[in-house]
Amino acid sequence: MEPLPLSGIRIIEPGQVWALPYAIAPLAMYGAEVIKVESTVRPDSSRGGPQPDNRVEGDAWNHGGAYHEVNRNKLGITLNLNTQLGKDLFKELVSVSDVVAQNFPPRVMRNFGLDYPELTKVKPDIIVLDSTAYGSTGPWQNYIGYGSSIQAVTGLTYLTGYEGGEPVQGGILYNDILGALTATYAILLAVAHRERTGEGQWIDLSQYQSGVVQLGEAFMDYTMNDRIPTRRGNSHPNFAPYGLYPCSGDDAWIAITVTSDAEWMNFRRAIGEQWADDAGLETAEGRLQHREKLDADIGKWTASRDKHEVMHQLQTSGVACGAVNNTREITTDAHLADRNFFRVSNHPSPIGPRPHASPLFNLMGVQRPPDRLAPTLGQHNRYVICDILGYDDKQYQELGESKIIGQIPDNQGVTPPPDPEALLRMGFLAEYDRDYKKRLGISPGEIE
Amino acid sequence: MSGSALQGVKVIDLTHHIAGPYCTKLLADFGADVIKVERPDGGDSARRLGPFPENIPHPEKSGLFLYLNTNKRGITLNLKDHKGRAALLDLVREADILVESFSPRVMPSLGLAYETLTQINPSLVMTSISSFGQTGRYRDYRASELALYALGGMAYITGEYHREPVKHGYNQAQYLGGMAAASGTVAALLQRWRAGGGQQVDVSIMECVTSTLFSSVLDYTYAGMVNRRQPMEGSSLRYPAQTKEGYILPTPGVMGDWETYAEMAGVPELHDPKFDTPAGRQVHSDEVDSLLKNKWLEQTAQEWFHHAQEWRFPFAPVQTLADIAESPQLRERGFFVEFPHPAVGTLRYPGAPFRMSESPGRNDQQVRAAPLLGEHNGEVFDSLGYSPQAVAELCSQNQVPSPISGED
Repeated sequence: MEPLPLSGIRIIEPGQVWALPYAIAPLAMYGAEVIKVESTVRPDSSRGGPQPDNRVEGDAWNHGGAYHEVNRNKLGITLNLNTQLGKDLFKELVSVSDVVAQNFPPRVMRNFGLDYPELTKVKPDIIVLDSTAYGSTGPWQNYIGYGSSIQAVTGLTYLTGYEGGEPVQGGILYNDILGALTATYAILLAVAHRERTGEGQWIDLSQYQSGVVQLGEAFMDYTMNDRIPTRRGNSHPNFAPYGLYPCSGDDAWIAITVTSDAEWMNFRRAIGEQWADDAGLETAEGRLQHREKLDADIGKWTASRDKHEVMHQLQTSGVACGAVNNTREITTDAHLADRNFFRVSNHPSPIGPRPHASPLFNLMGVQRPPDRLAPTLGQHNRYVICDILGYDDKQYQELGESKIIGQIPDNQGVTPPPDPEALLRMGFLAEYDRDYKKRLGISPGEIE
Repeated sequence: MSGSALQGVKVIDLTHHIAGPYCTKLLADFGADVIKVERPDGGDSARRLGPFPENIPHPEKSGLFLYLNTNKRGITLNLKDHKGRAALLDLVREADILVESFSPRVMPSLGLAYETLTQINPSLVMTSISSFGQTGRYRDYRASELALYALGGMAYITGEYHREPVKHGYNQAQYLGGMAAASGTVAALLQRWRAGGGQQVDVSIMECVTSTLFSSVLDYTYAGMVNRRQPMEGSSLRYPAQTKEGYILPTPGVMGDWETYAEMAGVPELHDPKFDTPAGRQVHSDEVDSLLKNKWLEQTAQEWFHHAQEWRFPFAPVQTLADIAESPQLRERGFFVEFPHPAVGTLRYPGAPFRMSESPGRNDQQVRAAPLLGEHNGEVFDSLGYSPQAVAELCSQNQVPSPISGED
């Protein structure tokens, strides 16, 4: 088999919650040997949900969807880092590894005596990524933040929302993903640096900064013009029409975005409406000036039409547009299926076959091996401790007896699954699709 | 320390607008030698997009362009002309990486398909960033930031319950595409260093948007639940609340318990068993809201932020860009960088998302401002051994900006 880009790189991931594991997932898919470190005291909190079919059964801590989404292709061990022996084993593991990637607040690894300066003593060229909410230095270094908090502090919440309306929190996990994608890049850079020079290093990643850098042009407006940018809904300062328009059916919308005069002519031809022939609409200035009327007229045209049909019709005529898809439509989308973006992994019962997303960069010259399933809690304890670290059977057994390692969490409960019917009634769901497996092609009998 | 992470890596940058230039900015900021190739008649379309100082459009003063193109050198080449293409091929011969963000049909139509380029440079890494990817039935569809938010699924779950969906502010999808592409590029480079051989890297911005849904997708694929924009009722702690000054996100997080939250907020009436569980608070959300609403007005967002953090609750102020520019945390970490540019003078820019102890980024040292259109034509073509006459001929095409058009 040809080597993968990260073959031979061993990454230790004492990550908690799903964000840091998300950052490491593509590295595992592209060949790194990732050892996920949890403990029976404190398993990864993403093991909770969503539970398959909202049913909690058996070792439910091994069934959570979020856990499987981000931990495929990894090995999993448990180590109680509150004990000296646990810490020693962690250091032994670091001494034969290349990267440690973690997202506890800075004080946690310092208190464990497992921060970067300590780890370089056992592995001088180790790469350590500390991903924190606000960065590992500065007055806010020990402040905590989740995706939603980071979204607020980075300016994104303030800039998201309807024209004249209040700030809107959008996609509550958005900034977690953003921080994770940033962490993936940082680790790859550090591996490249080590490949070139032999040196390891410490990466101090701030999710706060990771969010601000994606609002560069808004910051430039402030820095150039002393102007504080604010919310403008879906509209664009330079282009019209540019917005979402209602389509037939419940809560159905299409984005139509005309960003040149030539594209406007394409749009005009495609819809064949008399009002669109107005010469005043032939320039961007004219269209921006008549934006409200234009939006109303387009809305009338789209309102009786199906969003996907409008999309194909306008695209065929050379107009940038896109139907507003929900998660059912995305996971069954024909284009993503063409690209094999969601790939089915065959989990043992009660999970069964489930589609999982591909990495966001597709290395076309690499035949990516089929995904291996995410580890059950402590599944690879023996492999890592005996085969990699060279402990014998007796020592291994003692580690189990003294609860340094284990395969059963101390607290076996998982968050009770939601009641979809109630959520639907209260308006939190658009639909509860009992036929979802059939739609996804993962019904029993459909998958080998 | 032995220089920046990507020191000595040569990148030819054929990108424009946001996603592609952000990818090459990330490579350049961390040490790669990036040569940005622009069309002679106006260059990168981002030059025509604001913000501009005093709102006066000028191709050398676009805040978007200036931000996205730091640490790159810039040349102009007409790729529709055979001389321009020949010069590009000379550059590709020497390069490690080529990054492009055209619609997938464009590079082959210019005679610059990956297969063609590898004939002159077999170990070339070619990163292609596009709205829908290099394959699949929407490959040649046109897109925009809003259309990608729509198709990718983020729009549907964002906004108010009774209104149309709303997208995130500014150009998040484009930036995500750029970040994913930078990772893919370095991964391919590692593959080449370790096993030899180049390859094409395919990044679809739509897939990047879809990935940010994360648990929403899993709610469907594991349990058949289709999420939507949420009703405000019963979830006020997840939304920004008005304070004496500014908004605070008063989230209790997942770690803290409710009793401590009530104590932290200074509202003893919240010490009531009926509010103890998230479900209970949802049922009695009107009461929770009315108890807290006036409380938040007693202090500013910044004051609540520090107070709640002392209690280990992950509150966050809803900051404006002015707040961010003044942020003591960002200042102390040396996040912002300030450097001169011939057209706009010295300005403050956002720096890097992370700091590497042994491979300083260019933002930690001497930053190079974004290139003027064709600024490095002479020095780049000289280095290829072109005669002064050949350089003059290549550069003779006029450089009149075309009218504003095209988001991508």
